Amino acid sequence: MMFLRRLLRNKLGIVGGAILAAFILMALLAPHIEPYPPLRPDYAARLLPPSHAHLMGTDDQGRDIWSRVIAGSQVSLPVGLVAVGIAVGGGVPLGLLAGYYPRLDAWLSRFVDVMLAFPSLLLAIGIVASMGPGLQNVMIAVGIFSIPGYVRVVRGSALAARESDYVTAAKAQGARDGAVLFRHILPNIIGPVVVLVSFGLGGAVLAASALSFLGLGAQPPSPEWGALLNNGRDFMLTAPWVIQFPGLVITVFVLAANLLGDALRDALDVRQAERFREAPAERPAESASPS
Amino acid sequence: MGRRVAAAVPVLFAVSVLTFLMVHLAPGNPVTLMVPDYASPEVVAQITHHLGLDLPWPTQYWLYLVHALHGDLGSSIRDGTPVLAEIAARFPYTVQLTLVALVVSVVIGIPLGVVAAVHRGRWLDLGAMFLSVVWVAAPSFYLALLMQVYFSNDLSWLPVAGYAGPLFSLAWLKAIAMPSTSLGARTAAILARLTRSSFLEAEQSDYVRTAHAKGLTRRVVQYKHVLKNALIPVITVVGLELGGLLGGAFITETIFAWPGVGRLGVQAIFNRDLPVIQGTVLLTAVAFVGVNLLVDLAYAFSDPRVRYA
Amino acid sequence: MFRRPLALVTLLGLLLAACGGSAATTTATKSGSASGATAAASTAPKVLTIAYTDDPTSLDPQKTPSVGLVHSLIYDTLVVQGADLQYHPDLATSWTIAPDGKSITFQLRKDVTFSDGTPFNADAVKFTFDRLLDPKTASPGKSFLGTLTSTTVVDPYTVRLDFSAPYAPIFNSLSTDFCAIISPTAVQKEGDSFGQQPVGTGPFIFKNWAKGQSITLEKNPNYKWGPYYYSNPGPAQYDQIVFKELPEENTRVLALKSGEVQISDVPATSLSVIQSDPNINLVKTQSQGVTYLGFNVSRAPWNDPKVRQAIAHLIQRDPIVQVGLGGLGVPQFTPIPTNVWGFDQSVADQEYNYDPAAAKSILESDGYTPGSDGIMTKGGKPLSMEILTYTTQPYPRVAQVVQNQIQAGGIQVTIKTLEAASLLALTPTGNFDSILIAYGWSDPDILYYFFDSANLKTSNRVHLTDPSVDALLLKGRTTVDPTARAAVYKDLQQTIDQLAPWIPLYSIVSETGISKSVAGVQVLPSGTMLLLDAHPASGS
Repeated sequence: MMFLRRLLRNKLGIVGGAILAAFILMALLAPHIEPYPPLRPDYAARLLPPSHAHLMGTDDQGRDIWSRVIAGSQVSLPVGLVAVGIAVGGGVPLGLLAGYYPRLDAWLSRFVDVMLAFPSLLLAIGIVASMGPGLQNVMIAVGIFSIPGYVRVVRGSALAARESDYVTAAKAQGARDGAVLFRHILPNIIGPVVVLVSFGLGGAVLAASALSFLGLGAQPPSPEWGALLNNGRDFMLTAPWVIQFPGLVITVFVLAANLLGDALRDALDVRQAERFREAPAERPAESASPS
Repeated sequence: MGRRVAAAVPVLFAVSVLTFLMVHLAPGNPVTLMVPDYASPEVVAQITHHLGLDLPWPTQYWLYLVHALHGDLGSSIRDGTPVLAEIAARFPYTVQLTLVALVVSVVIGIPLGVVAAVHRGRWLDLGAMFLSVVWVAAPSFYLALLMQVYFSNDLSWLPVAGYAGPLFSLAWLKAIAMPSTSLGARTAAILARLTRSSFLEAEQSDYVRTAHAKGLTRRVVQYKHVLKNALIPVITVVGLELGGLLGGAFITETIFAWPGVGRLGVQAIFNRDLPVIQGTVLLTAVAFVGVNLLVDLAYAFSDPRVRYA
Repeated sequence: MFRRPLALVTLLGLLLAACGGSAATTTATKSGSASGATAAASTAPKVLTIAYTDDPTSLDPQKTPSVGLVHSLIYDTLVVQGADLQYHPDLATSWTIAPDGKSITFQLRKDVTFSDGTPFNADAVKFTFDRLLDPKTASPGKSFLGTLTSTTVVDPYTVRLDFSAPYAPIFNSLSTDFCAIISPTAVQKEGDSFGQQPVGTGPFIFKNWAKGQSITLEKNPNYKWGPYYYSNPGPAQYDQIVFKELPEENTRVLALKSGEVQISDVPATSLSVIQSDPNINLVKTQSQGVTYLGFNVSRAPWNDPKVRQAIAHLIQRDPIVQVGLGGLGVPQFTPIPTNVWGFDQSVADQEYNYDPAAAKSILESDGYTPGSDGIMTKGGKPLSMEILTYTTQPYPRVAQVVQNQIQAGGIQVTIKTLEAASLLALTPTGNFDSILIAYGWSDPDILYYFFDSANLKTSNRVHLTDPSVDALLLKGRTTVDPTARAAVYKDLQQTIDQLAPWIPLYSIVSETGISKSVAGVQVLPSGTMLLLDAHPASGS
């Protein structure tokens, strides 16, 4: 049974990894594989249904949706990466400190509570409104409201590691805090963080599309996936391919990131990761405009 | 307990200061949205003065705070309605939607997780887990629009949108079915995955092995002992979701025209209607802090190693 | 057909899981078909259901930045504007204008009462305008009264408005619901909450407002003073009108199709769905407004009229209307749209036509030369502009077409979309290149707010300061004689045309879907729906 289960896990993980790799390849090769220029309108070819000429049809400006999806990968993948980078950069150090220094913990936990209790939508609008709209600020907004989730997870792992025998032993031998943090505790949280990053990648793409719903995302004519999806909303009833294909692409991408995350979690034997994944990866997307 | 409640006060205070600063730092002034394009500068000045928006920020915040401490959250800048009344009118709909969404997610998610765990490694497991990943992976407004087109337009089973009363009537059930399912799908997926993994974890534990050793049948062990223990983390997550959802669900409320607090809050943000923003943020924060407190207490109760000082 | 594949994966998934035992979903989904239209039995009250996008700010016409259908049903005005763009009696039966143009005396109807029983008379009119002028009311609509100084009761049914200077747009103002007559007793009783409990003399009476949900009005059984454009003076034939808030566009269209609402706007993007529906009629209205590309004339290089004129030659309005609006628009060439009094066809005819060669030669005569990448450059600086617009459709869609057209002339263009609060806060700072935005109003005096240098900090978004324009705008609002006034606006249109602070693009055409179970609905040029004559269609 165990063998079967592991095999099953791996199968899905492999599928997820393969899909992600395909997306990355797509982003790298984008200009070479786009059948049409993704930004150039063709008013004679507006809202055409999918065909051999246009695999995913065309949008309201007559642009080839498949080409825009490909070009969009060059935009959306970095959005995910940068947002996750900000979340890791902010969340891991804070989580480590909170987990290791009980004195700081009380303060940092309050700080995290404030951030979690503060509606991320307001934060996003505040950031986008004061710094101007556009992708850069979307990435910052999504990254910032993902921080508390990372703090929580890292704190939990650090807390557990601190109580472990080897840390107690290291401390008894007079190891300095810095050494203990980097040599003993950091390695213990790498597993959960890797898992979080994988889930977070999908979460950030979802959060960006939720911001698009509010008109706070990428600026036209950017082919960012969330913007494609939101643009398709108006054509749901008359030209559904304009929303269906971007929707499908986002779903598949997030799915792949999650499948890979699952596989990584198992491979790295991260306990309780189910609860972790729910914290940072879902909640931002959820509360950016929950639904 | 008392100390935990006391610790929530600075959190709420910080949230309120942060909200105030955020709204003031963001460009935009509520008055520009309250006048027609064709209002003379004098009219704009008159309205600004009338609303006290020409006072210095610290004074404005101080006045707000003093009133708030006396239980008066102020009135909407835009339409003059008291904020408490406005929230009181909307919150019941959010509570209904949240609770039904949680029921839907529990009723779907937990059995799905159990089925997957019991049939682990087989196609049923694969299918259940795949499904739950799909629900998490689809952007929420996309899923909601699909449901609307499918169930209302194509099948004509459910009304497109809007609230219908009275509570628990057939009309109510039909009205709440789509918004609650679309809102609950994500939670259901999370619960399904969580149930599955904690079910499997519980199966490995000592007391379950003991139960097996005592000769209890596999089914009895699975449903009586394993499930019971597997549900503890599940309940925690349900609690956390409850805290999050009580703040309102903007996208679901917009698409399904549900009159909850999520839409109220987002409209207030776009209108820069500070008292209403403060009110809804406070509600979200109280729900969040309150539910967290309960979850923490539950943790402490179930696991003696965790203490909250 | 292409909405099916994923729908099946995700939705069947949901359903399958629901079969696992979801009480809520299975009960609901098995309960049969949707209720459909509220086809009234003979004894049941006749109810008309109308979709709307967003709650009005207030139902107190003096406390709201915009007035709409709900206000027009609860209240009446002294005069109304007809389809002929002239003003006709409503609560006022006749009027005389003093020779100096500084006062107008209205004779009032004697058979009107407010729905709370308060008699309508000169006191009510005076009360209404006094409250509107009172700084304590801080009414957003106050500007519409212009130079009005006082209101005097001459006798119980005669009232005189006195102005410090002639104010030509007053009849248009009085015809809008900003100047609707309100019940003095109700205002005194309700105070600040009058907006939640409004009382007027209109064909319908306010009953209930569930915020975020619906507004319910009931027939005013005593109403019998409907203005000339109704075939019956009242009372209304529907017993109740329910306005249902449906913020999402697709939702409104689906609700109209399913009969959950009987009247709704239909966006161009969903038009074909409704056109093919045998149960719904569509009514077209051209808005009395203009969407335009405005340049920030206080900022280089947009302070150079030649650059603005060159860009005007790059604009093709037909593709903008076709692509940006799905065909639902009327090209406009002057700041006053074709369907508003004061529009001048001879000016529109001389407007900048699409002529890329002319654009190029204007720019070249101005010192610009095309670089190796085709971008026009002057002094080493490429010509590039940012178009500021709203996040809501159709603005982003239109902006992309405009971007494409201007780029074709060798000018770099980017688009920046902002939500309304941020956008309106940005323009007074002068920190932008150009703005794509619209206005709607039924009198050309509106241009005073957009071009007069007195309004630089508010609605003069393009930062135009031109003494000749200011003088014409002032003359336009103080010239009472219609022929003389029309000549002023012709001059103004010509002057604006040469300065080109705006490139007028189009007027929106809106389509209203009306269920065939409803008959007798009229729509005024202003877009206001007239529902007094509306009744259930026979046989439905």
